[in-house]
Amino acid sequence: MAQQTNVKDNILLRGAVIFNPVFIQLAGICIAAAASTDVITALIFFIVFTVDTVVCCFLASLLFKRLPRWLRVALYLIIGAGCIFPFAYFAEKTGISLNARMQLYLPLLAVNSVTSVHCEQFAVKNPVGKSVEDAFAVSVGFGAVMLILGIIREIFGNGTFAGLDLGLDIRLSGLLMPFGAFVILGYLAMVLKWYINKYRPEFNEKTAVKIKNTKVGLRRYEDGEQAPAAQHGGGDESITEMEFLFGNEPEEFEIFTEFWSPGVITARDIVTDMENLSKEHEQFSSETDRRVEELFTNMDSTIDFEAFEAVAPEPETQTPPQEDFFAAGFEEYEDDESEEDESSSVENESEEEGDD
Amino acid sequence: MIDMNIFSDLMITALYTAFFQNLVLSFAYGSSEAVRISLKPRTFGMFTAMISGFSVISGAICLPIDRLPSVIALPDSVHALVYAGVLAAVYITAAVILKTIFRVSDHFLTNLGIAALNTLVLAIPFINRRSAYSFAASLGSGLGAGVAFVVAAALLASGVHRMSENKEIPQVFKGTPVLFLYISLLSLGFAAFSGNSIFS
Repeated sequence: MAQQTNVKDNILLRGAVIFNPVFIQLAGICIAAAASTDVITALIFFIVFTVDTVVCCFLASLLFKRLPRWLRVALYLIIGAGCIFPFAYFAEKTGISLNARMQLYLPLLAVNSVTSVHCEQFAVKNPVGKSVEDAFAVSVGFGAVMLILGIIREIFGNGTFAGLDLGLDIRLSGLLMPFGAFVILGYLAMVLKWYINKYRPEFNEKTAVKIKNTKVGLRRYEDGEQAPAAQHGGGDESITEMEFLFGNEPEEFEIFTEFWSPGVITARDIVTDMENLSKEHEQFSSETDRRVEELFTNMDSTIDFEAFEAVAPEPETQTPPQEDFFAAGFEEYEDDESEEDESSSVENESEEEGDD
Repeated sequence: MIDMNIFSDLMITALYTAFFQNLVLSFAYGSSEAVRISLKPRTFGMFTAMISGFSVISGAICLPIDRLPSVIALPDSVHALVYAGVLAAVYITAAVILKTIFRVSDHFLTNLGIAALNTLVLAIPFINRRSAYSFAASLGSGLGAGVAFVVAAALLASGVHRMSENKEIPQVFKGTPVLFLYISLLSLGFAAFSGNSIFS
């Protein structure tokens, strides 16, 4: 238990290792795969990335909380470009050996997904100090991946280390291509998964990726099509109303159904809850998403999907969810659909522990 | 005749960018986003259109700026700053128009941000400049980027689906490990077009 508490409190361990941005959140793959061909380049990218992420998270936490999300993501690009420019300019003027390809990838750091994900999922929801700490932890995690890739690729792909010739007879130049990086990333991800399975099993569930196997027979009604009342839990709400509240995209049902347990509640209950939540907020905001998730996660009553579906559930709806395959971290890296991210979960858990 | 040349320039570059030298799988541009989108096949069309649109527009704006006499001589880092500024401006403009005139949802704008602000779209002006593409070719590379993205996402989606049903994958390889290995095979396939040796 003490060990678990330490891990939960250790933002560095969580941000850098357990929820590594590349292996678990599947972010920053472009830079990691393409720009880590040698140690020096990886080190330069690590430094620039750290500056970019820390500055973005700091400003996001300090200034951007009230801005709309669509505007914030553009600001991350502008700030990132501003952070990277001095490094790129300095490297160009002083002749630091960035090859032509690296000169192309360095500016692309400005739009790296790790920074924007952590700004959005953590920084804008947390105080400045914690945001910077998280940014630093994530940078360490990303930088570690870059350095490991850089070392392996340079030694085995180029036969050198930090530019010094090691005199190796065989050089796997394919490792210098992105495909070589993906092979190494695959094995590194395997090592991380083994580590979590063996030593941090409490994080198994959260770091395991699940394919969204959440078809529950819900479907969208065509315009003018009326759902039979008997199939709506006795209420007069139609799925169309729920769609209005949940959004128009069928995938959005899938997100929410993950939080419902088998059983029975009426569609009216859901719609009423949703309406109440919507009234408190001018629009169906991300905050509402979060609260609805909490509502469905915590409620004692259960839901019968068939009660408000107009079509029979497909056979796979009866089967248990598929074995974890794809990362939960991926969902955390989602957009509005999963505002309540892992970082927030970290926060919640910490608070809970504090309460205890 | 001139029109045909422009059209052929555009089409050849688009096909080259999308299929022969798939920017996502060969160079890993936008690979994080491709992985994400691969789980949402319904959004392929939307993302293809958005990425193509942003690539074409930002590329088309950056190309004439690059050719201004006062800009040509500037260091690469300054060009990069210009490209980032152009992309941010194009995205914000599009978002404001969609928000105020078409009243799109915040969810749509989030997807717009993912489609616009990624390494694939930002790389297009760099590629256009380095390859000295004509205006038509730069439009083609922008269109090709969108197609390349959906090709990659579709291949990934297909693979992920099959792998999720494969019970013979060892436990520690399930999830991201096997996903990365699968991407590496796809990447190797496209790398074969480059003619480079993987052993030397």
